[in-house]
Amino acid sequence: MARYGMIVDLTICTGCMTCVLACKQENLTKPGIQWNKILELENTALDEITYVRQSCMHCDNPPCMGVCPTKAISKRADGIVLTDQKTCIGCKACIDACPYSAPRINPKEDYFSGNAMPYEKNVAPYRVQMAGKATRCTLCAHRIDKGMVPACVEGCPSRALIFGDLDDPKSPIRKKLWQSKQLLADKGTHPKVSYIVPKNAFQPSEKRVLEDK
Amino acid sequence: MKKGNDTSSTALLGQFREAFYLLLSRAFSREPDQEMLKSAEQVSRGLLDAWELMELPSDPDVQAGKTLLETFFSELPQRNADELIEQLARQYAALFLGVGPKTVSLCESVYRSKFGLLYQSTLFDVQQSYREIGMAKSDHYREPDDHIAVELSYMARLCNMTREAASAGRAGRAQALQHLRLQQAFLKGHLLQWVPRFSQDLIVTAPPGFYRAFAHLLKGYIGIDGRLIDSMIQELNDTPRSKRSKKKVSSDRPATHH
Amino acid sequence: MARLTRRTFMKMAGLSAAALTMSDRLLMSRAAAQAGAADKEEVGYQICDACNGVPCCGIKFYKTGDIITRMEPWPGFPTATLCSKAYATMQRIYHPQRLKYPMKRTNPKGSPDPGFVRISWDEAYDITVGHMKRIGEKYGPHSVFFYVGDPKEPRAAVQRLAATYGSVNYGDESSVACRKGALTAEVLAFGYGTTGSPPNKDTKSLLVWGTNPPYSGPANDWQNLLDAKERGVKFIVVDPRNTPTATILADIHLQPRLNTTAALAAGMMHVIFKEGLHDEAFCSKWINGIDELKEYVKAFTPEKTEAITWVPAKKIVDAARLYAGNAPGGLKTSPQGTTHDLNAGNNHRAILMIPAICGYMDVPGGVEEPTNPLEGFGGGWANGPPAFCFRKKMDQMRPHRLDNKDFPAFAELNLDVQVNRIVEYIKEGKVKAFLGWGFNTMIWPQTHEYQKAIESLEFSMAVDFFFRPWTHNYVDLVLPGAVNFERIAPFAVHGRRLFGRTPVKPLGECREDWQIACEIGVKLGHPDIFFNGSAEGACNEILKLWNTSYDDLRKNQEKGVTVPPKRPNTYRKYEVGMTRPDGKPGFNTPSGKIEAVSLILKKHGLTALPEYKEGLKISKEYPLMLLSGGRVPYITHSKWRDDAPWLLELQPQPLLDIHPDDAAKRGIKKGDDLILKSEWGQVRVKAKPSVLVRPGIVGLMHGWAKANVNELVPRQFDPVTGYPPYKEVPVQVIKA
Repeated sequence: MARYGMIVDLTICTGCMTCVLACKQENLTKPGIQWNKILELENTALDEITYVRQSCMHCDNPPCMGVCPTKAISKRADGIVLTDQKTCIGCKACIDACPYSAPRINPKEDYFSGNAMPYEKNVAPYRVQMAGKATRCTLCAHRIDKGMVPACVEGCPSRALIFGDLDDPKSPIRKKLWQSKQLLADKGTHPKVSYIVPKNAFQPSEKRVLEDK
Repeated sequence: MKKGNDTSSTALLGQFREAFYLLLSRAFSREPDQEMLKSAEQVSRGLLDAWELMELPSDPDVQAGKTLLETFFSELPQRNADELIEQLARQYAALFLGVGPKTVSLCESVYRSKFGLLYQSTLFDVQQSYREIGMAKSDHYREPDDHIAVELSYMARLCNMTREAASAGRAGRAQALQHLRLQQAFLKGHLLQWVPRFSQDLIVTAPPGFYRAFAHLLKGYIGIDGRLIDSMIQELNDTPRSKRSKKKVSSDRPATHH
Repeated sequence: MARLTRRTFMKMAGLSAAALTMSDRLLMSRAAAQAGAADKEEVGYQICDACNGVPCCGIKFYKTGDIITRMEPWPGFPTATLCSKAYATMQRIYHPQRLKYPMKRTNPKGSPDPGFVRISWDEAYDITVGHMKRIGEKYGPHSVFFYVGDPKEPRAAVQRLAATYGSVNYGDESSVACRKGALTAEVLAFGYGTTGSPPNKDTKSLLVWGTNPPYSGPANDWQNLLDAKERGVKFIVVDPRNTPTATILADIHLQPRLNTTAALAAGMMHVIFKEGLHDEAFCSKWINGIDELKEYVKAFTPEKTEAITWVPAKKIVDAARLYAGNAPGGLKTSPQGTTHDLNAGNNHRAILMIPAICGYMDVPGGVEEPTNPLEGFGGGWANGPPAFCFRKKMDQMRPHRLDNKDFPAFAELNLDVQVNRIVEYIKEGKVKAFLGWGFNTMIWPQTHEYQKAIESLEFSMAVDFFFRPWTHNYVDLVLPGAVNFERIAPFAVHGRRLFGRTPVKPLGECREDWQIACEIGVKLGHPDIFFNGSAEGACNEILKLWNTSYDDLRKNQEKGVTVPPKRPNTYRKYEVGMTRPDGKPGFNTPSGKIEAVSLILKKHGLTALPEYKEGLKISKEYPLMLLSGGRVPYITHSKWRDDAPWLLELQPQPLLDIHPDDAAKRGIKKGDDLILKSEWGQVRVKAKPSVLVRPGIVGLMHGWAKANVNELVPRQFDPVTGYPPYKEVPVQVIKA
């Protein structure tokens, strides 16, 4: 069975926000909800800005899953961590538990009053976002199941997102894995999204991700 | 409300409802012209008088709309006809066609929280409803299928079909009931899901006059039409009271007469 | 029951009939209606218009009936993938506030409420053509100004219309502020336009000046640069801002003071000449005025250049050596970024001299000139195919151009008129009507003056997607334009590859720009010239140039149609007569050479060498310099605010980039309300302390209706290009 993960190369991320929009269009997330978010990290000493892409890390040991009272959070055999919105009661335990500040609660509002987007005859289930429920990146499981890569990966103009099967030696992700590091590794979460980070930006990146609530 | 023991009061109510829906539909389908204003005055006055006559439940929005309309039509003779039509066209454009400071959308999709009951867009949903009675939105009308005017004209059409069916004897009665149930379903599943908020938005945005009046009328009418349909269904069912389960009426306004 | 008399029934029947008569027939029986194609999901292909660039990026979309439900990058399209703004075109298409009908004003201009009402297309055209005929007869056809703003797509059709009508006065946002300023400099220098060519396996170094491709260009552009970096190409990035281009690519990053471009270039050339790093053979053979140029840059020692530009002397030397010492070097400039100050023309020309003196022109890996530009295409949709646009006729009418006296060099070299003094032309009675496709008064400095001027016209018309009060309050007619998904024209052109579009039915009564232009042409009395109003017909007329048609494009939808090149790839084309239209060896300039001393500028009494000129000065009152319009990747001009909430939520308010040191000096923290002011105007913005800008420079995106930065920019214009100093305004920043 595959074990899907992603590498985010912050050395070539330009902060263009395409991944944010590709995800939003694909999944029709609600206002203010960004399954992948770009945090701007200013380094005054080096005169550099690092753009840190933050999202659900699809941990192998997800702290959110452990604390969910209704067992709404589950991990697929291929490692993708998903929240079942119908079962979720919006208690925010997962938000408290996640060191990566990944889950959010869906607001009630939509864009344009009631209409987030154009009409859709049979709304794809992955585009259903329920108010008051916890939400986060699904690694576009619906695309992976069809043999495609996540929308953000396909959309990145810098090719800064590398997706693949961590257990497949031939997968593109394996080639770069040695260059990458996991954020907040000491939390024991074993995130499957890892980062190639510019030298001086690693700890500041961890700090920003931790603080972004 | 006054009820008759034969179908004639149902027929009357049916005609009343059809006319009301047609009036409301035309109020929003496009800008008024001279002809339309004349008819609107006649029809609205007639219907609102009939409201009293048939002792339908009183409603504060219907009342407010009635007052505003009376004022509007009473001032008509003093106004220059062409100027008035142009002013109404300006108001329509500013309210609905994107050129005003706050555009109020006339389409259900914009108001409904997505995926109401059926996980399907309301646009396709209402298309389906129209299809089920052998109808579709006219191509020449360039607004979406879930535009208020189209939805209201669908209800009017069903009223008409109900009336025709009801006058065709026993077999027709079953058909008429079916049409009434479709109306009930559309009212609950669509109109009631968004029209209260839409008309409230319009009440707040439109200057006092024609559009605010119709916003009130629309809000009030949609609020009570459920009960009118109920009473028609009761009539047609012709079943002893004790055996019939009372339909819950979701309104906090008491009926004036039972 | 006593009340329900027979009379009641009759009255009700009467009411019912009256109601039926007054109602609109909105439903029809389904047999008459078409059967549901509405159930199948189908695929479509479109191009994006989100960034105002051309050529455009490719979108593949899915639709049910005529409703688009989702989109993704067009597989295999030349631009590789999409940007954030492309995805937002999906949110725009069904925006509840889109204009759907032609609108006419009913209150006189100057009223707080213009009183727009809906009219029919027929009436809209009658009004427009009526005015065009009347004004043409009374004042002459050149008094009708034809303008194309954003997107650039309508240009060819509008030019054809202007030419047919008989007006030479066609202008566009490129002549106001975008491509044509730099293009003028490029043509003055080389005889042709170029922003450089993509680095390839032969490129050893790249001079990137004033552009930030990941925020402003298509994905394949940026990917190409990343690949070049991986191959070991040396990058010299010149940009006052700390952009990702600088951070990720630059071996050396130069951050000059604003409007010192020519000085920095001179400083680099000084080093290159002094250390003998230039290509002497090329210089003496192919650069007109090379001795004058050498003489001029002598004074720009690294120290002097540092004093002027604030770039450390050592960096200037290192950059010059890196570029000249790693041959061949390529060039990547912005289509317009370095031309937004009062020395625009010569600043940009100065940059162009650098690869020239190094001998990098049209060598493999250097600044390559395309051997096989698509014949007859005229260089791109930014210009338009000359034959289709009736360019010859427009050329014959040149003496009537409005800009001949004010900006003679610009007027001589460009098909589009420099629009920036239209305020004066209108005051002088030379312009009586304005027809604008996608135009926005906010593009101009001191916007309010242009609003007033347009308001004073006898007739003006705007085509747009949304109602924009800052422009439409001053016009007579607003016509609803079709958005990118709903357009068939123009088709996409990338190099020699052509791609068609599969439009969906437009919302309401929207029509696409080419159709509107053609229909006006038909109403003017020229159905044949305007293809009976058909945008596809117009496209087919152009596609004939390459023996193809829109049907062919549809047959080859995903891969497009490739027009085979005519000549084998040739370098140093200027040596073999492949650069000049007359076939002689040399460059297409008056001297036949690259012109350091420009004979055209000389002729018009302008500075012939690309000399540095001190611009607007900072002062105690205005100690900072404003760089407006530096790209934000999810905003384009004034678009992508309320019309795209997905993007607006990334930056909901105008943010002023200010260096943390400058912020600290003023006690300013992130998110503070600020007043940004210049001698000519002020706006309210929010603080964003960032190292994106260097100390002394602040940055603000233009196009915010509630914070129009162009009110801070003076109506002063570079004499060569006519461009305003958007990126050179002395300002002060205080807490609000």
